[in-house]
Amino acid sequence: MICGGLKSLPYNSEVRIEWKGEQGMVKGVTILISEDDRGHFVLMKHCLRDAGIDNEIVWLCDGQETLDFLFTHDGQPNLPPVDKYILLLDIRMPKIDGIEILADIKKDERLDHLPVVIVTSSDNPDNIRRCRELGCDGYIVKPLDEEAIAMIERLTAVA
Amino acid sequence: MNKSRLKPWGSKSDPARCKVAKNAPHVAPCCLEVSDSVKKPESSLEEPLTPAEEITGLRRELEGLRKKYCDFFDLAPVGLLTLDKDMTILSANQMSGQLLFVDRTRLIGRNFAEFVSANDRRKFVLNFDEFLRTWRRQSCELRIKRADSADFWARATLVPKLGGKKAGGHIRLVVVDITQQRKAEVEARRQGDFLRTVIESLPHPFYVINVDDFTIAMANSAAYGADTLNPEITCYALTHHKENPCDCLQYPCPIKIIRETHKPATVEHVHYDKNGDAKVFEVHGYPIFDESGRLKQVIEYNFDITARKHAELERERLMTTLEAKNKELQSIVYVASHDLKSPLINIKGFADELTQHCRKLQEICRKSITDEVKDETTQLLDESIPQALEFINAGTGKINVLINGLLEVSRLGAAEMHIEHLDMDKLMHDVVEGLRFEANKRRVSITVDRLPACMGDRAGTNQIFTNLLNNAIKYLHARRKGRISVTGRVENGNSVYRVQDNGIGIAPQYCDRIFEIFHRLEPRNGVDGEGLGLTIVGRILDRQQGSIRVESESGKGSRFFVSLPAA
Repeated sequence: MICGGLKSLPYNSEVRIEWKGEQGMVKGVTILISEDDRGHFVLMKHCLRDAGIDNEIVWLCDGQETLDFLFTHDGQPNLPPVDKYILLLDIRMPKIDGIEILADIKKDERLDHLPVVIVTSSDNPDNIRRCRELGCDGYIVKPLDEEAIAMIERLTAVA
Repeated sequence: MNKSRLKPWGSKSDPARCKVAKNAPHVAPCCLEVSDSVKKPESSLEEPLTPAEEITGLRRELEGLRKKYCDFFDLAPVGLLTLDKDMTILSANQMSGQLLFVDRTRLIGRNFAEFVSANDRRKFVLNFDEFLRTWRRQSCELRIKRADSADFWARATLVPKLGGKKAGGHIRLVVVDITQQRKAEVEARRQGDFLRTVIESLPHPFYVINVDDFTIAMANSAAYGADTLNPEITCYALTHHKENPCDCLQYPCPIKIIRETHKPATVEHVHYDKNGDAKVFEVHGYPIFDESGRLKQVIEYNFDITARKHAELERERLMTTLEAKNKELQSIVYVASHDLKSPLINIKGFADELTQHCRKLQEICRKSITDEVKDETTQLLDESIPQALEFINAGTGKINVLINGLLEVSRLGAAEMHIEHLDMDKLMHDVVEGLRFEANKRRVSITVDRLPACMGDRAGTNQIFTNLLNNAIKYLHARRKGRISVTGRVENGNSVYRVQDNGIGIAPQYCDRIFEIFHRLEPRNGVDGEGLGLTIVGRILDRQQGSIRVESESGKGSRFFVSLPAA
C-alpha cells in the first residue's frame, strides 16, 4: 500500500506531498523528488508544471526519508511496481547522500528498474562517472533547463 | 783438541747441511766440523795409521779449518771484531776495515770506543758493561765515526767469543751498517706520520679494522673522540657499544658484505657516541687484501647523516601533511563551492520567477487600476523592481562564474596526469582548429611553425595552448589586425614554445600577477571570463614539470614562453 508507506513517514513540516487520494485514484507516473533544499524543490516543481508535466509529485526532504519511502524497516521494498515512479535524486543531502541511495536502489533487484535521475548542483566529473557506473538514468546539473525537462518528460512517459 | 768434536758428521757427508753452513754469514765456530775438507779419505778407515801419520793428518786438518775460518771471518759481509775487556781491538775482518775506513791491520790495538760518536759513546759503554756483567748478547744502534770523519748508523752486537768468559774473556763485536735500513725506517715513519696526519685531518670517523678479530688497527680522533684508543677495542664495541659483531637486517655488517663480495660496500648504521647518543652514519667500507688476495683489513669511513636523515624524515612528514592539507583544501573548496551554489540557485530561480510575476502584475495593472495608482505602480514595476532584479541576476551570475572557476581549479589539483610523447604539430593544429571560429570572427591570423615534440599530458597541454591562444584572441589591439604566431625550439633538454601576439600587451608591473587566481587586468573592458585562464595554465604546467614566463610591452603585444620536457 502506497498510502500506508507514506503515512508511516515522520512528517513534521508542511505537506510536502501533493497527493490526490487513495492508490486506486492515482493516474500515470508519480515523480519522487529527493531534495533537502525546499527552494530547489519548489523551483523544480514550478519548472515541471510550467513545462506541462502535471504528474503527482512527492517531496522527500532528505536521504533517510527517501530510503524510508523506498524500503520498509525490515528491508523489504515498499513500492508497488516500479513503473509507477521516477526518482529525481539530489546528491548532497544530510544523513545519507544521493550516491548511496542510488547504489542501494541499483543493487536491489526489486528496485533496480526504478528510473533514477540525479539532479544536483555539482558537475564534478568524478560524481558524474560514479553515478553512471552505478546505473543512473540521467544526470542533470541544476537549474533545470529545457534539455533536463525533456529528459524527465521522456522518462515519465516511458515509466 | 777434542777429537770427538771434530768427527761427528765427518764420516757422513750431508750436502744440505754443508750448504747451509757454507752460506751462513755468521757461522759459529762449532759449525766448522761440517767442512768437506776435513773428511777423512775412505781408505784411512780401512788401514790403521801410525801415530806420526795421525798427527800429520790432524795438523793438515787443523790448517784447513783455520783457512776456512779465516775465509769466513774476512769475507763476512758484516764487520767482525774481537775486543778485550778494555774495548781494545784484537782482531778485525776486512769488512771492519771498510766500514771504519781504516786498514784492518791498523785497527789492531786501537780502542773501539774511539769510533763511536761522542753522543752515543755512553750508550755503548753501558751496553758493554752490561755485557761484561752478564756475558750475554747485547745490541744497540750507534752512530759510528769513520777515520775520515764521515759517520754512519750501525748496529753493534756484542756476543761472547766461543768458550765465553772462560776462553780468555774475549768479546766478539759484530758491526752492521744500517744506514740504508735507518733511511728506509725514517722514510716509512715519515710516510706513516703523513698518513696519520691525512687521516687525522678528516672531520669524519675513519678506521682501519682487522677483519679477523674486528680490532681497530688505526683510527682518527674523530672516530674515538678525546679518549685514547684502546688498541684491543673492536669496531662494534666502539661504535655500537655491543659485545658481538653487528649482523642484522637493519644494520648489516659491512665487513661481512666485503668478505662475500670482495668489493667496497656502503651501509647505513646507527652509531652511539660515548654519551650514548644515537647518530645515523653512512658507513663506507673498502677492502685491503694481502699478497695472497686474502681480505686482511677494511678501511671504514663514516659520514654523519643524522641531520640529513632528520631533514628527510621532516620532509616526508611535511609532504604527508601537505598532501593531507591539499586534499582537505580541495574538499573544502569543493564542498564550499557546492554549498554556495545551492542558495545561488534559489536566488537566481526565484529572481526569475519574480521577473515573471512582475510582468504579469504589469499586465493586470495596465488593465484594471486607476491612472493615479498606475503611475505609481508603473514606476515600481517598470523601473525599480526590474532594476533590482537585474542587479540580483548580475550578482548571482558573477558568483556562479567564480564558484565554477574555484571548482575547476580545485579539480585540476586532483586530476590524474598521463605524461606521454606529444606530437605538438598535431596538437597545435587541433587547438587552432578549435579556436578557428572565434579567430575568423575577429579576423585574427594565426601562424604556426613546425614545433618540436615534448613529453606532457595531452589534455592538459591542449588546455594550456587553448587558454593562451584564447587570451591572445580576446585581448586584441583595437587599431590593428590581430596577428598570433606560435614557434618552438629545444633548449637545454626542454621544448620551449613561444606564443606571440600584437595585442594590448601587459604593463611590466603586472607580468607576475597575471598568473594569480581570479586576477584580471581589465575588469570592465567587456571581455568574458573569470580571470582563471592563466592560473589554470600555470597549475597544469606545475604538475607536468613545465614552466611559463611572459615578456610583454603595454600597447605592443605579449610573448608567452611555455617550457615542457623535450621528447
